[in-house]
Amino acid sequence: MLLLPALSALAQDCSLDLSGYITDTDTKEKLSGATVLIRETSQFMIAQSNGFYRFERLCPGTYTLVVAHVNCDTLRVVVKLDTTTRQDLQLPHSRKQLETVTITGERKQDIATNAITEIKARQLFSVSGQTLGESLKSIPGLNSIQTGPSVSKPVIHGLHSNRLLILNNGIRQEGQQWGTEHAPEIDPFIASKITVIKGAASVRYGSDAIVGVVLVEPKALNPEKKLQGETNLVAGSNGRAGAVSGLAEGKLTGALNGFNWRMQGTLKRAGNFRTAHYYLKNTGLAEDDFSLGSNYKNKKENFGAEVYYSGFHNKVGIFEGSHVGNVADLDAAFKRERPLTASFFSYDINRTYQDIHHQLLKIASFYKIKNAGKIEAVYAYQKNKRDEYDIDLPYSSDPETLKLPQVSFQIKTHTLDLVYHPEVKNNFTATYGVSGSTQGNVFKGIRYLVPNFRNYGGGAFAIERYTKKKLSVEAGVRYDYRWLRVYKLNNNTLETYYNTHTYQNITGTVGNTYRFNDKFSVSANIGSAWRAPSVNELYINGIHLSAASYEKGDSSLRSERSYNFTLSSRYETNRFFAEIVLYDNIINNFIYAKPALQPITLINGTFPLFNYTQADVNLRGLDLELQYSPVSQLAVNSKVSIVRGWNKDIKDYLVFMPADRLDNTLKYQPGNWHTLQNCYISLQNITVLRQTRVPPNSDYVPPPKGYSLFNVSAGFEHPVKHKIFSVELAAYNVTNVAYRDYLNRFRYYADDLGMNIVLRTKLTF
Amino acid sequence: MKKITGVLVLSLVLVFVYNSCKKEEKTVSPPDPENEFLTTVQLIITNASDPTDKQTVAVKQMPDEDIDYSDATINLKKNTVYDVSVKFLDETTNPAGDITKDIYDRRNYHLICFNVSGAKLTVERTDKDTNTPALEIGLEDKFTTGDASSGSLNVQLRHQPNAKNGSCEPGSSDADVDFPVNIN
Repeated sequence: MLLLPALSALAQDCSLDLSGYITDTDTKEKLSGATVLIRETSQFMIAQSNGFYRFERLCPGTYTLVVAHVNCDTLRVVVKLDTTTRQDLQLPHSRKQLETVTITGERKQDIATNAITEIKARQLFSVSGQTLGESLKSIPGLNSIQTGPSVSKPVIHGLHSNRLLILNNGIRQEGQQWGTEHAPEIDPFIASKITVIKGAASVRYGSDAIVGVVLVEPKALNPEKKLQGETNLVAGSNGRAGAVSGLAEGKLTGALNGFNWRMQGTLKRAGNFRTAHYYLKNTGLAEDDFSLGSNYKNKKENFGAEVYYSGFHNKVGIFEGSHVGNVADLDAAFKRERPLTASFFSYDINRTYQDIHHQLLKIASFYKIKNAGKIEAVYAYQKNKRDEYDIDLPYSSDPETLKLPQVSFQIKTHTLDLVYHPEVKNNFTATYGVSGSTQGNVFKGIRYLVPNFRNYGGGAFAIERYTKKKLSVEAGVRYDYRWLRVYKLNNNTLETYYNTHTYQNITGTVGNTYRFNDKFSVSANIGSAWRAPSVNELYINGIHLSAASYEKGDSSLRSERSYNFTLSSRYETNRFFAEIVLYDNIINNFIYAKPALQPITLINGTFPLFNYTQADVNLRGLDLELQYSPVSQLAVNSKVSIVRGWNKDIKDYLVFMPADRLDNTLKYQPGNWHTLQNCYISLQNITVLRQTRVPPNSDYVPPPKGYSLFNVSAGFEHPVKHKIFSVELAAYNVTNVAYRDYLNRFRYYADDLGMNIVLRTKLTF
Repeated sequence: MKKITGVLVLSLVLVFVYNSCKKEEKTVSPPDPENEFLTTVQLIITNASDPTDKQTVAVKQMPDEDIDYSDATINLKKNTVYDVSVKFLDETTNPAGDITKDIYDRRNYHLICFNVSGAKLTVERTDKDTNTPALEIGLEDKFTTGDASSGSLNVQLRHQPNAKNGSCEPGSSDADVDFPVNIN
């Protein structure tokens, strides 16, 4: 079967040439060092310095050219060859322009006037093996809140957890997002692109999108071959960490034409991580994830369906030195130069640890109605199980009880979304949708933390956009309803009783983008977002072990609402790029844990008491990125992130706001060297200032002093037959600085990570 | 049109699936009867030269209640030696559960620490665990009083898994309570 097309080709005139020039769409520059691969024949070549490429002795037929360049997005072009052909190729510049999204054939964001940034291709490769939270820190305005080296959550414009929405392959990630030590249960290796929308985006995505949305998106399942894929291998010196990830996909032929399949899996392992001077005991990690997907498109391409299933499982050790019983322990831990725990390397994961399972099933389909647009239906089911084992065994002589986690949550979520995109008419594009969800939470545990609950949610939205020449204007509106019933047990009568809460909100967005010319554009967006209080804010009543605090919820809390103003501007020429984002996010009824004046005394000691309450706050800030290339081989890039959080009710700063951050990179890209392509070497400095704007009595210790880290990385791509082999060697914190970061909750107990040398390889076949 | 109908039917099926799901959350699991809550720190204090001179004091905290010091005051005679047993109880059950046994079973991971302030009182631990070398536990102790005075005695149950070294520093506190002390 496989030989047939080749045989029939033999009979033909196989002497055709395919050649042309490769240029950058935006800068019109000839792209030297661009690589061109013919998928069908696996022929591979590198364009000359004037951007010229040429394939000889080709048979007539249809070929897929895959064109790649370090500065550009990969382009796929189908060429039908029946005579010697000149085919010039234009590569879209891989800047964050939304325009490039359409060129590569992917869907535009439904709300386009927010500040949107994408991480993909080479950038994504350079963060492979890291947690999702860490991967995003290269984007101005983003940070991560950490609980030790392996638990990290993204922070956008100062806020995180359930004020930020994460979409895993299009589905809202639903777990116990409220906890700062509850990292997103997503394998970043599934993504070929991570998109970050900075700004209130409830209109499209529903509640919780107060500061933004992170979309973790796999590559569209549209393989050109019967079997293709990639393998990633990442090894890190710190924690002696390793990750292996593989992806295989293909299209089916014959009777099953139209069907594609994909399998993907990741294994990760790490042992005790090391700070500049000592190991952190019990900080290992073991993770195993997989995903399976299949889709179908009919011949007319007006109907398609997709099934996707992913399983995530990890076991994360929690640094032993972070275990404190009460404030006296915490104070003692903070006063120590270094933790009392023994400093050694081990892969063992002992108590305290988290054991987390997350499963996602997605079934989606679309139908294109002739001259009327496209309708999409997406159903998803998620099951999240989180078990947390404290350092202590429970007090019991029953062997079964001794094995139980102290805290165990299970949450199951069903969601159904229907979206309709009418045909583009008279420069108008639109998106209409309805969505529904239900969620059941079951808490089991020895320490009471949060109650069981059931919730139902429903919403409907409409977004319209008008685009003409230099101007595009968009507006949207949404209505959401949420019903929450909380089940609790009366400890004396052992009878279950319940409380019911309902929330409803209308949100809206308006925005416009004006393109003065192809170099300069300005966007403005006003958006609103909301979120219902989470169950911990309503009902928590107990000790937060890793923070040595006692938290009390308030069941009368109301919805939180934000009004976000974003102004962004971009200027881009051949040699210069600048983007500035200014924002003011006004959040009314902002829910936070307010320190009480009196501590609470319990049998296990004295704890500061925090009561959940609401206030009107605002977060203002600036994200800035500048890049200058004096010559094409050299680029200087600077990023600045500044955020200020202010509580208007108590007239003081908000606690735990990211400190000002500067990220400067000098990159040298000599291009090709012998058989190696796209070689580069870069030096990066990350400087984080001390956070000086903190309210009194909200934290145990003052914020740590600022720090400055140096990172070095070098990499290249190497074509091996029809495969592409990518390599990067990076060293982080090369000067092995001992530092502590304000947003790492383990800064009370230990330094942050010391030097880490990471080797990344990727083979695309 | 057929396909739209298909999508709609699928949606309806899914809505049905929603509602037919088991509502596990309606069953709130009661506290595990095998798990014991540390509610009470109790000291049984016996005059070493007069076994009839015996007192039991306790600091107690029941779930969702304030800490209770009503039976916590220790009254001791001056210049006297006492034998003391420290007990940890779970008084959420009747009869009360004894956690002391669990702690004794894991004695190589636990240490009772005493801090006297004000009163003229010295505390010595008299029991040993099975670490090599053997380290003190503190469930059994000797109190020696000096002249008349008053103050307080802080008792901590330190949990020191794989870290016990004889000092109070490693680990974390599972109990940390203050007893008022009068020496007459």
